[in-house]
Amino acid sequence: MAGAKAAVFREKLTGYLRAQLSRLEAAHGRDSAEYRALALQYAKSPLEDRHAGRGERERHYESEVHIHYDGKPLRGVERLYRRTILIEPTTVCAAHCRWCLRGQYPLFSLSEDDIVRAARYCGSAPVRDDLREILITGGDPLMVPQRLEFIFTQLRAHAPNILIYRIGTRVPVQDPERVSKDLLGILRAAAPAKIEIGTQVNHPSELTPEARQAYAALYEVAFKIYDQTVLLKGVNDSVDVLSRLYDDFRYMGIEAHYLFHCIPMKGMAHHRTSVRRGLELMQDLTSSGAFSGRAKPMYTVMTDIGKVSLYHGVILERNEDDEVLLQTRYRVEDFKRRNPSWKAPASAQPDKDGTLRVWYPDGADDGPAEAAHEKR
Amino acid sequence: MRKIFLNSVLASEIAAFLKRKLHGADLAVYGPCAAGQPTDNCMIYVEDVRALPVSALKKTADVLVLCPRPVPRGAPCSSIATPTPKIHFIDAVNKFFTRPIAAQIHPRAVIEEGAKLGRNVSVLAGSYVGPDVEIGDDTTIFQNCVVTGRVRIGARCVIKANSTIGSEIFDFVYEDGAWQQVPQVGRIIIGDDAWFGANSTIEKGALTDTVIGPGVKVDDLVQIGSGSIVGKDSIIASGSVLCREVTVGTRCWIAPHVSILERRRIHDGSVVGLGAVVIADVPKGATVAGNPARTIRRRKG
Ligand code: SF4
Repeated sequence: MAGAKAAVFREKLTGYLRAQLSRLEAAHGRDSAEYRALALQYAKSPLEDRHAGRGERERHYESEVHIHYDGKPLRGVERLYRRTILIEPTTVCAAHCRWCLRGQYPLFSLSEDDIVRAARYCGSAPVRDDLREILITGGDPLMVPQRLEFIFTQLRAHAPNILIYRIGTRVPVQDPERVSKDLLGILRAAAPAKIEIGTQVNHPSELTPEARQAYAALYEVAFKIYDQTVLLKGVNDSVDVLSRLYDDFRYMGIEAHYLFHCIPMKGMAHHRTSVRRGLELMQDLTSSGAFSGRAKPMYTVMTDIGKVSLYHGVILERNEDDEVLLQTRYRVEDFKRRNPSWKAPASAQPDKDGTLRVWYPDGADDGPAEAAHEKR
Repeated sequence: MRKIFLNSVLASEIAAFLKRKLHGADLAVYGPCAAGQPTDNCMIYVEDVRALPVSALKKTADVLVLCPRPVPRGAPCSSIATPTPKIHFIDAVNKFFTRPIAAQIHPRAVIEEGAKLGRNVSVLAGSYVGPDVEIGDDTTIFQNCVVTGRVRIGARCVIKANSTIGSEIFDFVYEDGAWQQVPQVGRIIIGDDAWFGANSTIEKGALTDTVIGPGVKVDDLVQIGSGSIVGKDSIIASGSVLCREVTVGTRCWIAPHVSILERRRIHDGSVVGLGAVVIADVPKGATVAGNPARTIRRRKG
């Protein structure tokens, strides 16, 4: 939740993930890339407790603009873009991904009353003229199918203008059993609205037969599944891993959408590569004929003003604080139009023509991905 | 009928639903567990705080306990205090972790023309429903049952697999050197919310009706003889036999493997102990046991 204070980020794994870790350990050993690819994603590391580095945020950028409806603020709802609204029915995830700020959100879930009001808002004039899509995130919405079903019924009743229900989930790779017949029935019942699934897989070893089956089942009810991988040091910062991963997506019909540079959050430095490393990897992937051009993601960083996709030339300069200056096409006037009280964050500076440049804290390729004693 | 549903809810939501207070930290609950075998993110109930499985709880994370008193601070779980832990546990499980199974008439069930089925009736594979049968709303007949003759079953009843309701009755007179079957014109009338275990049989009445009151729960392997009457909310446990035209009052408790001789009356609120052979009427509110059954406790007051 925007503005919510961070709670202790304890380790949380599902039984399925524990079983996968034992399986990978037995098959490949604890030092293997396969085992570490999963362990680094979920095992709490002492490196997380290091002090925040320069430029690292306690909390990630999020719009603090609250939507008011009927004189009261709407809980758990944010207007993302003109056509899209975001709703977070829960902050519960099946497992805690170590680099993700969301796992630190305090426990919260929307009440039925909150949901009814959100749905009424979506279908109210003049909002309904613009709104076509709802992004349901969290937490992981597939953890709360009953709530999801309620959201769908309310949207159908109050906001038929919403044509796409987009759901962000990692349940297929964390607890695939939850992609059950009941859940699929609930998703299917969203019709005539369409279901789109956004997911995140970071290493091919996550795509077990169970996970593949879960994605295949979701494809029976979703018109699209897309992926946003996070570039993680020691997990997938190699051409070999990424090309295997994107190859797998290709054959599973999963669209490669973003390859995100890991966000500059406190306690996550050991997960972050440099921005340049990502660019090199992208070039190896996209300009080597290694695999289908249909399977290429957009390499993107999350800055204080929004997402910026990286190409050579986007990085303008680097300062002594190890921040890189990125050229964006965000415009001050667009922000102001959406929110008249908008002020550019300190990291952003407008150009003569009104476009913004933004400083983004870089990661480092030389530091360890895990504490020395974690390697056994 | 309900089945398990993979969901997750916050302990605070369960507390709000039960209109009780949550003691301890909020947590995500994934489903119910037996008290002695908690897993991470589960909900259990205990009737007594002293029965708390403390050592098992220390090995698990995020357990919610429903119990008569709040679990003391520092315990390895959160709790909701309620005077009726089991009932509230059932309510919460039904609300959050199970869903009704959609009604279905299985393609390999036989429903004869003339049978009248209410809304949401399920008849599962291999079952037969005769032409003179009437079944109330939301009743489920599991696999391989036979329901035939003039039978009326109420709403929300459950008939478990391999049971026979109706059909021929075991009632003969010896005449002219052979056994003659008595006329079989009675009906079977079953009230709402009755429940029959697997492999149970209910005979139709010869001349009078066999009547099972509302809310009666009958365990597996029970036989209810022709023309018997079982009163509202009585319980008949596994393996018991009611011979012909037995009358059981309301809220009686018939323990496993009881035999009741024909035409005997078990009056309201009485208890028949394990394996008893009842050859005489049982007075109201009494407890009987043994072979032959003797009164071991009379109704108080
Ligand atoms: S499942 Fe998604 S929201 Fe939850 S911790 Fe992982 S990446 Fe973050």
